[in-house]
Amino acid sequence: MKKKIIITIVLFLFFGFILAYGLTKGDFFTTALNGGTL
Amino acid sequence: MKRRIFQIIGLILPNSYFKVIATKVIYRGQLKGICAPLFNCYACPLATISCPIGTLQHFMAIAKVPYYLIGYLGLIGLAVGRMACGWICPFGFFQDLMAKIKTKKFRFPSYLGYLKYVALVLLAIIVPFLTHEHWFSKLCPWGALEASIPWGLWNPSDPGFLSLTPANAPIRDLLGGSYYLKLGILAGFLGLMLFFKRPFCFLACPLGAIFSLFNRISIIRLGVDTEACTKCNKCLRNCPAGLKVYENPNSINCIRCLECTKCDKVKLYSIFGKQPMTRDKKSEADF
Repeated sequence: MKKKIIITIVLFLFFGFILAYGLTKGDFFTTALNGGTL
Repeated sequence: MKRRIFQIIGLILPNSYFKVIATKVIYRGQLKGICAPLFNCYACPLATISCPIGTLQHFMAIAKVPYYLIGYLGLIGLAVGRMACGWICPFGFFQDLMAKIKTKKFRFPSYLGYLKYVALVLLAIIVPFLTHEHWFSKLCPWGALEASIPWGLWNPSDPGFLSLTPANAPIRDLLGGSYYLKLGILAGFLGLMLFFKRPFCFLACPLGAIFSLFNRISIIRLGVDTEACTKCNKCLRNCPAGLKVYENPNSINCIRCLECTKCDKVKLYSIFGKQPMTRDKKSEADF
């Protein structure tokens, strides 16, 4: 059980770091310029 | 009933740009930088936020790694798995309503559930990367219903799409073969919806494919009391995805709507809390 909790926390930190890194790289503005497809 | 309220909110909130009625131009402001964790077309006339799969294709088409999207979807998936599919996805809501049409419902063989990974990898990642075009969006049945059909019927000039050229021509003049192809795909899925529950979620949803990777390792999971379960199929009757929950409570096809927890042998539990029932042995072994 402890192992599962530790793995979950590590994964949370991992994805949290990737999210923060993406935001600092300006991904937010790239997303807004998607353009739309019909 | 509670789930219906969330589904209605999931439909209305991302589609509340009513100013489009006056301007006839799609919203492309900063809110479109936000991806909702649900399937909602960027090109819908009323859309205020982005579709995660449209964003993924956009990043692939411009050959950039979508860090923001990976982190964001990873955090949501890790917390709740596919719960967004069952509770707030507008296309899921639409399919739930279609399932109310009284016809005999069949079940897909479980291996067909892996097709959604093909849709994700091929149509949302590899092909957009190679062709620099949003191929899943060109074929998306929900995009057809939410965006292509309304814009095609409305037919304004220059509604603000970057992908449409010449920009000042009426939309209907610019719609090509892929428009009619996606209408055909929509018709196919509408037909499937008469005989299967949530066929798009089961077979083709790339967002569901991403979230499904987390169903077995998310913080909250489903567990079945395997000793008390009599396999009466109450869970199957309640399940909007047509699953026998006791066979695999955290299956990749489970949308975490929690309808199965109406049976007291099925419980939602958190890995941090006390686990009330016999745990899902398959998931435990895999984790």
